[in-house]
Amino acid sequence: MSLPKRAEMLNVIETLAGRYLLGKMRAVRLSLIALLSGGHILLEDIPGLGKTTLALALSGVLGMTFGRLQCTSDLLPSDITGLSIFSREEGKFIFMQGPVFNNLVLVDEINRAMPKTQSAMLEAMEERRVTVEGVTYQLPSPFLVIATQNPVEQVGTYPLPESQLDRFLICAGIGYPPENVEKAIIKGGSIRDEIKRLTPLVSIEDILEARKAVREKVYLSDKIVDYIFTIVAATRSHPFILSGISTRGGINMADAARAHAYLEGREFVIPEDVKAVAVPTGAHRLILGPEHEALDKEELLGAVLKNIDVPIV
Amino acid sequence: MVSVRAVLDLLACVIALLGAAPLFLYLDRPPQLLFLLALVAAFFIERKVVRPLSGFLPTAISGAFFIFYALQFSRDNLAQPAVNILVILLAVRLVCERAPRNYLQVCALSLFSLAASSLFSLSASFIVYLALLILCIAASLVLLTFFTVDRDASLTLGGLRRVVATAAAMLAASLPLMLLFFLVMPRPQFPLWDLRATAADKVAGFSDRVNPGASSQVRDLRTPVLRAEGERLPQARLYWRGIVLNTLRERAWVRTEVTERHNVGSGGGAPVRQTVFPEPSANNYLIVFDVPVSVSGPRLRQDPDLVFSRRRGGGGRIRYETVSSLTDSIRVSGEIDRGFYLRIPDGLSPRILSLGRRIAEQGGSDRERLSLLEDHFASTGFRYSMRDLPGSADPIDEFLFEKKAGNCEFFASSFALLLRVSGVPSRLVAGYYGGDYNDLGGYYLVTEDMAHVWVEVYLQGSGWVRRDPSSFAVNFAGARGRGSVGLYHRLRMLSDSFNYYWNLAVITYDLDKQIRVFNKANSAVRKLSLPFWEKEFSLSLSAAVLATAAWYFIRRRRRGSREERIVRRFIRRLGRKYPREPISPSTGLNELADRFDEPAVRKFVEVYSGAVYRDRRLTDGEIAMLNGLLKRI
Repeated sequence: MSLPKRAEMLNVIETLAGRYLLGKMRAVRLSLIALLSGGHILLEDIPGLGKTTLALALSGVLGMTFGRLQCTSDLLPSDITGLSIFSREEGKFIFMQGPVFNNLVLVDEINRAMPKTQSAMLEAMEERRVTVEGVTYQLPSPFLVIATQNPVEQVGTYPLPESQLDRFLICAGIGYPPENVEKAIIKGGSIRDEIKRLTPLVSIEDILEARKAVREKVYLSDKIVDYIFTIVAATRSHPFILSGISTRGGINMADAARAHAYLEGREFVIPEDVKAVAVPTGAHRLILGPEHEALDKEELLGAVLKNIDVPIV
Repeated sequence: MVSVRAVLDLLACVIALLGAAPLFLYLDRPPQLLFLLALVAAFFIERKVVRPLSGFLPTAISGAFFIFYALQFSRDNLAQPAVNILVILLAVRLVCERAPRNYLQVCALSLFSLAASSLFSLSASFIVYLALLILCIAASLVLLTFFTVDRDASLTLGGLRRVVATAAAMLAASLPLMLLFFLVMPRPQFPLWDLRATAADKVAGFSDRVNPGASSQVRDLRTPVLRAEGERLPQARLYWRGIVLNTLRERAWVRTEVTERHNVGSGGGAPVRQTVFPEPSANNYLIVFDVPVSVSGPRLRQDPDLVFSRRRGGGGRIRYETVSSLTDSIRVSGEIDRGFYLRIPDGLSPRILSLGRRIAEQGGSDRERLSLLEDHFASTGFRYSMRDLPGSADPIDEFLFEKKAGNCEFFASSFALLLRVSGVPSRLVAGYYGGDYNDLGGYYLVTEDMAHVWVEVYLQGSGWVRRDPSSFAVNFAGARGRGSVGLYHRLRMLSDSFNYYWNLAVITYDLDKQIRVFNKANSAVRKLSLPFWEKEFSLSLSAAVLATAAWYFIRRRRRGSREERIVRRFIRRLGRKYPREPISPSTGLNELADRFDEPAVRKFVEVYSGAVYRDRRLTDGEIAMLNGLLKRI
């Protein structure tokens, strides 16, 4: 296969999902897809299922700098971006970089932060730069944000508005691991210590090269574009859905499908790639009608997909 | 490249010719000439030597002829003026300028002309003309669609061939319909308009009056008289009985109504069964194989002297079944009216009278007198001749004692006359002698030139005995017993059997036959209890027909690219192999490969999607490979 760095990427997945993050294959893959297509990922699940562990393990094997934000209601934007501090020695203000100046940023419980802080974070995610006191600082590349949120908790939270959710390439849950896997996890105990000792498997250069390959080597046919558009259009005209997938959602879906094809070792995108990433990249962008809010967005999008003909010619 | 206009011009001439040719002989002289002239003119117009008529002139010519012939219309003369007008209109259209309207008119008028020809002749060649005409008209209609769009359109030879193929396909498609309509179209029991009776040919051979010497020459016509289906019989016994002439009035033998009421019967002999299809003729007498025993057919009349006739005249073809006896005598129970059959006119020549009396004196009985007369005929050395016949005031006398040459009328009437003079009851029978056996159709063809007259002599104890005095002619075998062979004869027989079947199947297809066909079909449907294998056969046949239709529609609907066809085949194949797992259109190919974990399926999907999702056409090698993989699924 002429897809560069694919073996390394697969190795990352294998190592993480097979040795450390048991039963989290899907989440790991989606994280890598987000990494490869230059998006961010929102892990939405109840606490204690390994969201943070996943982020930590990823940062460990990817050889990227890691920053962590534990969101609380009093977290200020400057706590994320950093701030200027007067240096006595030098007699001037020096910009102290915040945790966002890292390749991999874990934003834990993002919905606990104030909207003001959220929006500062999301702006950084989208623009990949931070402007503090009139000076713009470029964020490092690659830049991957892994945000987590607890959907059940309601008190003292500021749920992300839909416009903010749209900034995340992928939104996925982790889910409980299968019974035997969970038993093994319980038996093995916490692996936080092991994760700390993880050595990087790939370099930043490798990741950048892989991203380039995804962007340039994987061919996206017009048929697939049509297929993606049909999905997007179907969500817009669906009676249960108030507002469907945005154009950005369509772009993200195509990018994610490319990354999926890359991981599968194909130089072209097939409808199955789209299908595999459609729900993680699309479901969280849907805004349901008031009377259908109780519906599961992922299931709804899955049902929409089942009614769309796959282009086979 | 061929100019459409040139082809249309040629087709117009051919169409006009096909339409008018069957009618040509029945036309008056001026339309005949005008039509030929128009054909020649059309040729020169096409060569651009002459300019076509345009404007008011053609309408004026047509109008003038129309008025002229319209004045000739009468109740008895309907067809003749009509066909003349038709052909003149056709001729005028041929020399008119070439507009689509004129081409269409030529087509229509030709069809009418051909249809009109059936008023005069019911020959089987009609179907040939019709088929050719429809072919040509279909071709010109197709070409006309080009012509109306572009007057100077031209076609390649291949295109022309396609046009002809289209026309042929139209003809082929219309044939089954024609057959169906022929079978089911309602038809009356009698012809609606019987023009045949007025237009019938003048009978030249057979007539109900034998008048030797009336003309010095007899025409030799090969027109068919009848066709009799039956087995082959000895050539020398082929006497076809028509009419009995029992009275000699002046010099002509005529028929007077027979009043005698006694039973007659054939004198034994092997029975001969025949089905006779006579050609339409002006007289009502039915020709039957001598000696008839019984005749069955519609509305028949039988005279005691075994002359059969139709009660009502009228055209139309009929058929009748006859049973005859292969013998030469008619047995009579009871006594005949001797005086009636001995009546002779006054003013016979002394030579005839003396010859008759001499025979009467020498012979003691009727039988002896007959043999004496036969001896006289045999020893005199008469010659059979069709030309230079005796034609003086007393032709019988001239025949007997001077020329000693004549046709059957002279032989028979002189023989019968001499018998009557010598006191032996006798009469003339007019009919036909001979017949060409058609091995193909298994029937005898009797033509007008076989018309013949012979004598029946009444002998006590034997009844009426047939005697053919012509057979005493020294050259009789050569003159009458022609054994025609050779290619021409065989071709004639072939075309005649074609005509025969045409009459059998088409011309005589009337209401009776129609009802019979429907009844047969009805009972066949009711009795439809096929044996097992036949049921299976018909089931599979109808399944095959359905499948063909379905296949055709699927192909029409699915006529896509090669990729489309092959992937549809792939999905159909999987659907057939795994009928329990329906394949929804929202399932991707890779999902199928995962679902049906088969190496061939996987390989197919890999190769196929590798091309299709890269927006690349499949190469020929890939197509072959995929087809190979499809076979393994």
